[in-house]
Amino acid sequence: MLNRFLLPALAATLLTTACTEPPKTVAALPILGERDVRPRADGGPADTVYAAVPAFRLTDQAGQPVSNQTFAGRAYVTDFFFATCPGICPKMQSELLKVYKKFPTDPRISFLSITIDPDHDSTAVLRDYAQRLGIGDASRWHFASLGDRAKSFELANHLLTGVVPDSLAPGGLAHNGTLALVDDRGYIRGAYDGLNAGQVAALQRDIPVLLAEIDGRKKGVAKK
Amino acid sequence: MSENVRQRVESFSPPAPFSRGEGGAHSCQAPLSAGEGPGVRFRPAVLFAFLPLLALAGCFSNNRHQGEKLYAQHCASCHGDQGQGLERLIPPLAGSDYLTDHRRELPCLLHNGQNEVMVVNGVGYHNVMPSNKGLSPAQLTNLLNYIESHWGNEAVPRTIHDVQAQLDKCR
Ligand code: HEC
Repeated sequence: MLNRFLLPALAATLLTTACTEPPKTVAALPILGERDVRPRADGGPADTVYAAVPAFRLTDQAGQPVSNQTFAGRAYVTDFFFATCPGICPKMQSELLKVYKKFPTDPRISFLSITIDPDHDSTAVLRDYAQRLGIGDASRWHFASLGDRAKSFELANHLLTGVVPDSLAPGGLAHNGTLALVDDRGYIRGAYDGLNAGQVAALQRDIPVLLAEIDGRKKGVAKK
Repeated sequence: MSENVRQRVESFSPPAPFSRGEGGAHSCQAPLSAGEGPGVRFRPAVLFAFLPLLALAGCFSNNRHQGEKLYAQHCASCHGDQGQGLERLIPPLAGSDYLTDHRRELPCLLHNGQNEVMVVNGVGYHNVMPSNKGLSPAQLTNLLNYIESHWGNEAVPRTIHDVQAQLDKCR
């Protein structure tokens, strides 16, 4: 766990001192999610292949489509919620709102909250929710629906949020409050418990580290 | 359980002398008698909650510790650590005019929850306020006394007797 905090600091110093190195070699934040270890035919060290966030196509509170392409070349923070959620959502969303307020206009990062109750959370409901949370610009923070409940659960699982229907849970759905940080290539680079102030603070610290990494990658591309 | 009761007694601050217009002497009856109304089942847990109060003349419930704990457990996730609410999604409890304007209805609101439109400090809210059917009248009293004496709120403390009477009406 210590490494989590040391690595970004190390990476930052490396980034500033080693300008000539391709920034790609600096692995500041880990890559999370499913991975596949493929043994190499020549007997060399096995390759680890990370799974990116699968393709999704959502509709946000402005009625606009939101897909992986929406975030191409940019980072985003995502979580799963529903408008009438009586359990953890208000706390989770208020924590995410704090993070949002640190980067309200930075085009390199945006926010995505996906409903797990698409039957209730129509575009109009999502629009009202966003406005009530004080989010005027849908392109900064999308509140979006996949339209299909089962598919929403599936996508949630890919983004490290466990969701199961549970008649005993408040609101009928048991889920955890993961905030996932996704990079410009679609890899999950951090998962934070949105109910834990310490972890939300870690997310706030990790975002600039990731943004610096993405900036580095872009510069590298531009130089070529 | 006895450990629990001892802690509660320790954290109980003796009530200041207090009287109120409505209820008068009645609110100083032993709280248990208030619970004999219809629909109230006395489970052991409820009795234990009353014990420390009985031990201290039981005029009204002023166990701030319990109210604070219950708030953190059941309410803070929505209304915030400081009763600040969440933008225009969840109304604040700090400085809420609803608390004073609807004082008598609050025990029922907490017990039953609601999701109709509600105006707090001039802002309309329509979201789910969940029910808290598992909280006893004593717990609701402590909870309300906690809310109504924090974050700038200053209301006369409630007695279990009053809260019980108001609960009887909302069922
Ligand atoms: C799931 C979120 C949630 C939880 C948990 C919750 N509330 Fe509420 N509360 C609300 C909402 C939303 C409203 C406004 C209801 C509406 O819009 O119809 C509200 C309204 C109120 C009001 C009246 C309006 C005001 O702000 O003064 C009080 C008092 C209140 N809640 C107290 C509590 C207490 C005490 C608890 C803990 C036992 C609690 N609430 C738990 C969401 C919540």
